[in-house]
Amino acid sequence: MNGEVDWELLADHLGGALAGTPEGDRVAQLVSTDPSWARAATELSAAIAAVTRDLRTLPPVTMPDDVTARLDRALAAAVGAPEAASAPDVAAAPGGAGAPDAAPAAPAGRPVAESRRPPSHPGARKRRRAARWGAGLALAAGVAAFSAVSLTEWQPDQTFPDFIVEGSGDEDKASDGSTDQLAPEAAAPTADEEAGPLMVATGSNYEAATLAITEPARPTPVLGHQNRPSPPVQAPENELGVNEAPPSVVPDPLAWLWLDPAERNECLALIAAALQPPPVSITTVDFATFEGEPALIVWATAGDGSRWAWVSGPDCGLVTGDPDVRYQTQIS
Amino acid sequence: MADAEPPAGRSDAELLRAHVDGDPTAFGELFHRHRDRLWAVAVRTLADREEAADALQDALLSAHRAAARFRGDSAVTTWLHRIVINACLDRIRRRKAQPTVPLPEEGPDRSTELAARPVDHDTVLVVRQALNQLPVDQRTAIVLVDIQGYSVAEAAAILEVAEGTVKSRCARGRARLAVLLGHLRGGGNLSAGSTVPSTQGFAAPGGGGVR
Repeated sequence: MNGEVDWELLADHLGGALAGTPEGDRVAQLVSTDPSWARAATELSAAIAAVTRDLRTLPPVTMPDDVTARLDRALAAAVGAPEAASAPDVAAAPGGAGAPDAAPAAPAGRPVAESRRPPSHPGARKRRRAARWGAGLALAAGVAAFSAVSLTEWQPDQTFPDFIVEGSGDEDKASDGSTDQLAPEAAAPTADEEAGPLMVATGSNYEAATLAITEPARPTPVLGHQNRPSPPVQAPENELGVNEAPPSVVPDPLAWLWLDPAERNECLALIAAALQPPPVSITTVDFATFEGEPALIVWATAGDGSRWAWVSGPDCGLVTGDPDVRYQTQIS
Repeated sequence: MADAEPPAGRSDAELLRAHVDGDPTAFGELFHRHRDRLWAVAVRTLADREEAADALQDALLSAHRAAARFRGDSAVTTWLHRIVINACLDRIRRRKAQPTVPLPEEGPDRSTELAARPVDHDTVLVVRQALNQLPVDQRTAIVLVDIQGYSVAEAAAILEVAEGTVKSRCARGRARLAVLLGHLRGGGNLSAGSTVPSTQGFAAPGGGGVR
């Protein structure tokens, strides 16, 4: 290092980034003993002072009125539009859904699908999630009487997990009220369901060392999915939730991703975008834990055929553009 | 700075809580309170008015719907700035353009290639252009600390990196600006056409390993 000035290191030193480190002490020694380092430090200090002066010439920035108006409109729409047609199980937010002064009226002729979007106001969303979660638990209590509940799966365009049930039984007729209430949401699989990822809640706790060998297998034919081909046999570390009500194994911090297709899809899109090269196909998602912490465990195939295991935390997609990655590794 | 609250009225945290509880005007009030600073960060990070508006809209809607999950680990403004910056970085990643201009090699003959010292009336424009040529992590740190006036600690909280990382990004960014603006002739390994590596990246996925 002596004699040849490392300008980046010198910049770090002058900027205080090396304070208290052995490297900082070494650079300080060089500046005090080596003429070339001393000269460079003088030049860089003066230059940085000039840069600071230049940066101060930048005038304050204020948001243009048209941008303010645009963002006001977007926020008003976010508050009001979805609320106006929220599902009956959602208590309207005070002054929210129907408040005429809070949001523009929904346009006439709005498509039904759009009008059924979940409310986006967090208060209402929270209540809706709670309602769904409660309903899910009610359904779980119902299906517990079935001979076996082996796995939980749904497709990204569904709004509630579609339970995969082995065997059948009439023992649970008493709980039909719950299941009937949920029937519209546990929609029949779409035509392209085979192209979507397998979504499971296995209750597994994954470790980095074992992630590559524990991808859950495709399930056996399921209620309402009889045409689905039988999967290859590849069980994860533990049993696939046999005799467990599936929602109970979904860690609470992941419940919002479990229940909200839009949030879930946003998260998965971020993960797919982060893996290279495109196109990336997500094959399996397990709502589980990673090294003891709630996490989405995702397996994917990249455009070059490489296989990846990816771990995202519960905040996946919470901050725009951030998949809350915890771990990723190429497994083949 | 980030925790500055108005002398009267509800605090940022109270507004956010009211929004979560269903107050339809609370989030808008929070937005208006901080809009100029959020806008400044977005427009100076992206250097494009329309993209900044798009990013800010993405960020605000994201914050609007995720407010219930705000844990209060940081100030509300820190959280908002973090969301805005992530939205900006998301857009930069999408367009896959982080314009960096190779800095000149060391040596007396190269001095003629250095940016001419701007005349006064062009200073603002030239500074903006130079700023836009920095690697985005350095630019963001400088926008927050040197232009917007956040402390290193606040910027570190917003960017979710160590304070030393913010200091390094600012220091290297300033040094690079010094070359771009003609204040430093030479600059050695500040040049070589490579982006100055950061000691710690953003949360964007990189190689394997536990974060």
